Amino acid sequence: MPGEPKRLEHPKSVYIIGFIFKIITLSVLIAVVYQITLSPHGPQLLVPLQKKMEAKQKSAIMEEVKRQEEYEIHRHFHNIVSYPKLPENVQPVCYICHSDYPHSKSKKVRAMLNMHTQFFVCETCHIEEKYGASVVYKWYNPLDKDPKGPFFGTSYDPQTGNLVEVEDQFSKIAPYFRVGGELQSALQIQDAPLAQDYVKVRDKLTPEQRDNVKKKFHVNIKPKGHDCKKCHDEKGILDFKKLGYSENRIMDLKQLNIAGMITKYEKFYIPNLFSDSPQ
Amino acid sequence: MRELKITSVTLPTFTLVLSLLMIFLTPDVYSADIGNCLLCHKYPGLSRVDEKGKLRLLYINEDIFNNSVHAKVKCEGCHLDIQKIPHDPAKKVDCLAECHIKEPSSEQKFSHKDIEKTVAMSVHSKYDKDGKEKKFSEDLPTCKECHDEPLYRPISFFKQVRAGISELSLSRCKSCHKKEDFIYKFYNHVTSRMHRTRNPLNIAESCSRCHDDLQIIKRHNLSAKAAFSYGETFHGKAARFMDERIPDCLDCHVKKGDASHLMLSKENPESAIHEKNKGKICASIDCHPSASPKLAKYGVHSEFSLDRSPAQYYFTVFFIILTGGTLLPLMGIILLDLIRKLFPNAMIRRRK
Repeated sequence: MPGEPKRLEHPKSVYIIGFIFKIITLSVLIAVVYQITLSPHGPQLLVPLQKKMEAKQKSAIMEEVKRQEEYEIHRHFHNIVSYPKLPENVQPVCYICHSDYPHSKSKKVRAMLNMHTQFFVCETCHIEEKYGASVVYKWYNPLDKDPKGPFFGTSYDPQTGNLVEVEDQFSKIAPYFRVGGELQSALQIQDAPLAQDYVKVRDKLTPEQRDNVKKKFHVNIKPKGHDCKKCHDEKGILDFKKLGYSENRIMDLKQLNIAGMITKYEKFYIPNLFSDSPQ
Repeated sequence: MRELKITSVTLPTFTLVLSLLMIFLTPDVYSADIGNCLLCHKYPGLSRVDEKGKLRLLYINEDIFNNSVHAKVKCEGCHLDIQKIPHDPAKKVDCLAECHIKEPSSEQKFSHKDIEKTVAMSVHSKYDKDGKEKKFSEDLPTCKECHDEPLYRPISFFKQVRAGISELSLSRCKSCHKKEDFIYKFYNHVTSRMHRTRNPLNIAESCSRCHDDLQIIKRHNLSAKAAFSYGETFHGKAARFMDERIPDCLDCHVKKGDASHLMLSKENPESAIHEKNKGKICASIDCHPSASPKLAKYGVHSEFSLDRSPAQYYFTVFFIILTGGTLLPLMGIILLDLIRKLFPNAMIRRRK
């Protein structure tokens, strides 16, 4: 319209400055709103509402579990480092019910048995032989179809005498059934259709129904695992050499003193040769 | 020698006993793991859930342990009840037990008993000055509430002060002292003790376990969430950036020259934070040597609370209103301008 000011005929730099100014103003505005509503340094006008919403999703059990884990790390006194964990969907199905520390019955060896879960999957020890199939043990990594190693626990660091630190944090020894010439994995992971379906509906099942479904996960699984000697022996079921273990590591694993201590000794007292206190 | 009862001997286990004896008989023995406890305890999976459903972590990271102040103490030195392998569930460690190490200046067996005496005089004692047990004494800290395993933090002083071991210093030590292990431990011990064992953030986090716990604050009638409010100060913010030069809880709450465990109530005239002594804290030679005692009058632990810090409360509210009151109208104008730019011919009313 003639005579009307031309609103948009500004130099480009004006738009750029205006844009930057708007961003800054918007950021400050967001900060002010946050300060008034949620920040612990302000009146926290929306915090009661936030707490109300959180309370609906809160799980007392979950909170207690997390609190206990934090407490235990502090209670332990000795400093520890955290280790990477597998994503939930590729964890073996056993972990749904049995957790990271499944052994608890035998006070004498429960921690020792739990320690073994670091090196192999549950089925390696709890596998039951299947008619018409032999069991073969291989390295298994849910994140790598063909893990090449080096694998944790297979060799010692000659400098420190400790086990060599490796990049592959997740490979474990797992059993496979050899049927004819074909290898079939003997383990189920949590993204297997049956496992996923179970997780979805387990809360709706009666205890009896749940037991019935669980039996499907325990096909070819025996409740009591192998004895120590089944692996820690010259004629053990694991071919350590084929699995890539070093010679001295193989010797230690086959002649492992702990296995002997647990199975053979009644008592093994630590000699107290240099104690200053009178006996 | 205590009972050594073996019912069956195999070659490998006999080898183990022999190895153990050889380690015992070696004169230069230094390792803490004489009992070869790490044979099992080095594995992270060595953990369990006990009968009460509580998680128990039982593994030790050998590298970290060897860098700790207790590296020289053998496992049985603290875990006194463990006498056989495999052992029963271990009892709680008593930090006041005498260990096998001799304190070099007194030649007495080393113990933390003196620290217990100091704590007994402090505000954290479970007993009042008349020896009566305080109300809610179970809230008051024991050693492990505040301490994780302390680690060596050696520093080097050549040319500049930096973290780590000075090879040049070590070489000087070696000219007189022969045992490398001794030199290494001695260097670590002395240089770690010449500065903070823990960084300020770590100290504040440790105190926050109780002093930010609302239940404990209520039960003991404390005035503020102490660690949280410290985090709001310049000092606390620098601590979050891992600045080690800034003061932490201990720097203000413990009188210079006193043991760090002797933390006193602000009502106690001997306390570093007593009204009469507060000024000296900020004006300390290591902090603000030319500061007036009035500097200490600012509210270190003030919070956004009308009851506890009214001045800070109104000041903060004023600034929120000022900032919002300035920016919101400005934002409105900018928004209107933006609408006009996007829709140049837009009108609310139709033109006649």
